[in-house]
Amino acid sequence: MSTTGSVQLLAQAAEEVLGTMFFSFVDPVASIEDLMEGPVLTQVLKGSLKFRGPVKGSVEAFCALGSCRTLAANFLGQEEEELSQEMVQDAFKEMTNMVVGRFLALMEPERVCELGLPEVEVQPSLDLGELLARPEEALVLDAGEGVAVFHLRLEK
Amino acid sequence: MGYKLLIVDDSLSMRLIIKKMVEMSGFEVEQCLQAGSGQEALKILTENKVDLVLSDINMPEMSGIELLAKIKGDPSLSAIPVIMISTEGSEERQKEARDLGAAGYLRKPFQPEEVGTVLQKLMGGLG
Repeated sequence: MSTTGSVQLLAQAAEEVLGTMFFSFVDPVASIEDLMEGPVLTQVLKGSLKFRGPVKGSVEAFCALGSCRTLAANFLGQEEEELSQEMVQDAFKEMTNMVVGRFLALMEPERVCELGLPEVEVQPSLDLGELLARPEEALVLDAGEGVAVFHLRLEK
Repeated sequence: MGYKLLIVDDSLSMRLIIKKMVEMSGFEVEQCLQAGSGQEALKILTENKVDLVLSDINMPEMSGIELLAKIKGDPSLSAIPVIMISTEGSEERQKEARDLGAAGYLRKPFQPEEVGTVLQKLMGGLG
């Protein structure tokens, strides 16, 4: 499957997970050129997960910390101010885990792809222009609460 | 009279969500115990009478599949039904879990209705 086709499946997976578990209904951002020239984001959560087997590669997910807090509140059914930083990060890690798991199920419904353990970290800044330098590997979603960026790397 | 559940997941937020979805599904819960790892789950199982285990698969140190094998390999625990929960939903993975004795399989993301269907199906057997 082409990288573009794989990114479309990643978009489907993200829409399902964000809609079902995070009550956030997403739309692909039509033009990422504007984002590439936009400002560098500050205080961003980065979730990452590697996988191997019939499909091998990794996904990185990025979202502004404030937007992650809103997503986590939706996910857990709690007020944003009730959530610790640890809970926000844990919820974003789980979101990354579920999106990648669903993506692999769409890519390979029959065979097992071994998932690594999801990781999450706070990045002081994110240069979208740099991240989107290979737009065919990127998925940018408008999650209402902010932009979520997914970066897919598939190994041959 | 409800059931005593053990939820096993290394993610605290997932444990909270699973607990909430079980409650929303209408399944009668007397007590909901939680473990953040397979090792912690085994300790809780030896110290408590648990009616049902819901376990994530992808966990560090001891995977949910390893935990399932340990539960089913221990005569004092083997009768406890175990439902596996995972983002991995391949037929191969589900068969592996069933062959090891899993009573059910929930694929993330899921809705309370799906949790309810799996638990209600099992509840007949438990009753």
